[in-house]
Amino acid sequence: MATSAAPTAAGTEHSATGSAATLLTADDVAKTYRTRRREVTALRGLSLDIGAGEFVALVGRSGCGKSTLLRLLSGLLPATAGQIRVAGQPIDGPPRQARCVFQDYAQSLLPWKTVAGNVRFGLRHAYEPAEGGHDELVAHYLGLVGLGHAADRYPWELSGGMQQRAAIARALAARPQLLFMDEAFSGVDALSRAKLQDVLLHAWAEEGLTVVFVTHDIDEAVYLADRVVVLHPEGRGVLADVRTGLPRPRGQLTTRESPEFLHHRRELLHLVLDGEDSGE
Amino acid sequence: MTTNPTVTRTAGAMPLPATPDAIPGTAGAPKRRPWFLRALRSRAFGWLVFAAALVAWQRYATANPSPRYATVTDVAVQWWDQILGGPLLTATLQTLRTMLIGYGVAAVLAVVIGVLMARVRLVYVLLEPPLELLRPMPISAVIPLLILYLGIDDAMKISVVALAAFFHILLNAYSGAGSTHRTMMDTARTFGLTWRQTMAEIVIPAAAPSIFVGLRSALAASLVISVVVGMIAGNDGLGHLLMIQQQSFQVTDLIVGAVTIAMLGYALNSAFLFIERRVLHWHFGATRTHD
Repeated sequence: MATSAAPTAAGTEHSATGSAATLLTADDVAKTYRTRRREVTALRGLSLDIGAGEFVALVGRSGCGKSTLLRLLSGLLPATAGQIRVAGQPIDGPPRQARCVFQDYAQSLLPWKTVAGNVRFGLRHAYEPAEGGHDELVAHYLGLVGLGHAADRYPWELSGGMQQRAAIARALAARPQLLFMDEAFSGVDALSRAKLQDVLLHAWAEEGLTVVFVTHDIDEAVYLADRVVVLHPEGRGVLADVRTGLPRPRGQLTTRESPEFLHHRRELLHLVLDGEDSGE
Repeated sequence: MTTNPTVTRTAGAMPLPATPDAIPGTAGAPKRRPWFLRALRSRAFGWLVFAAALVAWQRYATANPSPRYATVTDVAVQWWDQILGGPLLTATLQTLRTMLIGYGVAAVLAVVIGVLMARVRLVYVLLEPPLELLRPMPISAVIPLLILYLGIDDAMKISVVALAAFFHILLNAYSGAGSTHRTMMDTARTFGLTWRQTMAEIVIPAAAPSIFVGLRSALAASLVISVVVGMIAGNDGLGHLLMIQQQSFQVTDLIVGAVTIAMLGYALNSAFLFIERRVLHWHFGATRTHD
């Protein structure tokens, strides 16, 4: 397996060129679930390098192990074989530099805290404590996701899209280097989803993050990411690694109608639908 | 059933199912119940019937004077006299004290042990067998043993009350702390919370609605037991007072004692609901919006 560039202490300079320092490495990773009767291999032979500042989307058919991969990368699940490194350090549990945004926002936000209280939770459990008073920071992160008006409301008083924006604000308040998102926008309606996508792109540009975004929606992957990784339909590693690199800033209308967008969308849909027959 | 007001009378040949909403095609607004049915369903009606029963009791007791009955007014006057001072006040305060200390001890122990059992495998393995054996034992079977070891004073009484309250809270704390949603636990892990932070900031708040269910049934149980243990120990409290009054046929005083216990229970439950509404306001709000 090809080893990546020398693991250096990763900076967080914002770069979409892919030549930045490697932040996250998966080296020949496998995951086998063992039950009493049998073993199920969800994923094997997966290697991947993600540079600091990249926005990477993971796509693939259902059952290709993309959610398993995200749980492995975020340290929530131990790998059966291989190694995952963050900033050169092999991980053993969730890496300190990373935060997750889950699909099930209703079970991730703390319902006994207001939106501001949830963001304060992020500030208290931060990777790099931010400078400044908590009140100003709460206002900053809520402003970043457009929830300044909802600070004192409880999560269950908000729409699904607003709850997920609160979850993003909470994750950002912890000042992570890495943000993992697992089908994070699948649970909301189409209009809220478009809003969430733009909120995320804005926050990514502002905060200088590295984002790994799992989705089953090819359009969403092309719209958000610079690089789309297609997983093999039977969990046999990476099928294709496409650098889309559409111009930024992106817009829901202009980007989605551009010839490059349609080209990549077609190419990726083909890869996902036809599986390995058309693999590179 | 034949006069069920929600059945739509204007329905045609087809009998329509009775629903609380207006049925399309029938006249206008949703059906309103007739005034007498609305009155029958109001809470005031229940209190009115209760007041009528008191009046009936008063008339019967006045018309048939007997040492076996007391009139409502006698009871009320006696209660007012005694609650301001004398043995009734002392006994009430003693019972209340025993109950609150026992209940408090049980609440702290049961929440701590319940959460630990749900979250630490070793604690579960060690405590599950003895607790499961103790749990079905009637508290009355334990009292003689506790009297033998602890005597008949506070230590015994508080222990009995605590024991009676303990399992109500333990079971609910255990099941509440054991069913924290996986995504919530994943959230705690990815935010790097330590074990203690996870318990304090995630597991216990998430289990709070369940813990409160246990605290509420434990409250009723501990009031009952705090009175009964006074009867058995026979030295102080409302239970003891009632036993003395029964032996001397003081019917009015017996009713006064019973009324006092009822009012104590009502007051404690109201206070509990008041606190619960404040602590769990988020829970009531969240469940209301998901109806």
